[in-house]
Amino acid sequence: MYELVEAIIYYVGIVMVILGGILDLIASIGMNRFKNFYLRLHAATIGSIGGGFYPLIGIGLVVLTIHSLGTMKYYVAGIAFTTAFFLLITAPTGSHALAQGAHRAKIVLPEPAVVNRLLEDEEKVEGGE
Amino acid sequence: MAEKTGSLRDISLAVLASLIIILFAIALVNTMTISIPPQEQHRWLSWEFLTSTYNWAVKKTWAASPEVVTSVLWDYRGLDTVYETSVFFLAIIGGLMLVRNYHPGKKYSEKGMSLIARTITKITVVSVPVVAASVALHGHLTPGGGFQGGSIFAVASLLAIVALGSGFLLNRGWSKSRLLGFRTLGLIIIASVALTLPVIGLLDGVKAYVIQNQYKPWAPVSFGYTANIPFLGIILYSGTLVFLNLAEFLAVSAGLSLAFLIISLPREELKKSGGIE
Repeated sequence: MYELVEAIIYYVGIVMVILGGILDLIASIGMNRFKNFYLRLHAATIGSIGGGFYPLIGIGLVVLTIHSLGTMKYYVAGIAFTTAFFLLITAPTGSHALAQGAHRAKIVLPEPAVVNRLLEDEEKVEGGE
Repeated sequence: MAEKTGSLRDISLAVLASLIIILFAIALVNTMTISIPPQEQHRWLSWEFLTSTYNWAVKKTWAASPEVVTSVLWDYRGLDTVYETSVFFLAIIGGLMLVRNYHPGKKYSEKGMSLIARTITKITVVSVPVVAASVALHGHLTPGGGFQGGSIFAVASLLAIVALGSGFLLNRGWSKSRLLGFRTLGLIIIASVALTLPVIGLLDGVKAYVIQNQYKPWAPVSFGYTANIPFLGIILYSGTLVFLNLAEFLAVSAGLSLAFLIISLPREELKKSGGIE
């Protein structure tokens, strides 16, 4: 039973690493093909979460099943999980700050856009002050 | 927007550029410099340090630390690092000269980025100093050291300045004089650690060197290398290395935070004080 659980953890980790590679490829294609700053930012976040967070979790899971490392495997897995956690909370924040800064400074406007409520709100706030 | 890609001109340019890069790389490795040594062998200098820094059998040339880089930096060429630290101190003083007419006011704005960025920054800002302290305190055991730990600490203050507004640190008492005081305290600790053994040697009438770390047969004074601490057992502290790393950590983190704070001061207030155009 224990060996079965271990094998499942191992293969889940391997699948996550491979999935991370595929998502990185998709993100790089998106960076090249998307036409707009905001769309490219979306592709970049796929690269940092899909290509950074998933493989780190996968490596952490795989390492936990390798017994020849001794107690060293807990260090590797702990560092992998901690890094994955910080990547998970900081990467979306970074892209959010980039998008917000670009929008507020009116350097790039989202187009084609049917409706832009954020711009309307910002103009309302600026007009009110 | 999408141009037609893959014309013959582009491809030939790419091939030409990569050929030039490869040719220059081969020429650089083979003729212009000495060739890259095989990784299994060491050159004599690195072999000298690798076999002497943590050699318990030959204690007259050791530094009592398994970390070769820190041993070289603070023991074998320790005086050089002391001078480097003073050069860095003078650079911070030079940065302060630019804002010498500026006297800080009462309140600064704590208006930073959006709520999302502020919340995540508040989580990250408290965890960065932990990493910094770990890097600095393990400087004599694992790669890292005082300067590296201080630089990591300065990242935390830079994050706080950018995401939470410069007022976040300034309103909490991170003033110019206080940070400079911590900077000076670090330098004073480094100087006193460097001069402790010569003073002891002078009082005892034996030979001792400035910034000496371990016992030498011709200079019989030492900082020791292990300490028996209750509840922790015997730990290796490698003589002067841990004290110097801690002092450097204090000095560099305060100095770099001060530099970032100076950079982030609002331009209008600097203009008002008359220091800049």
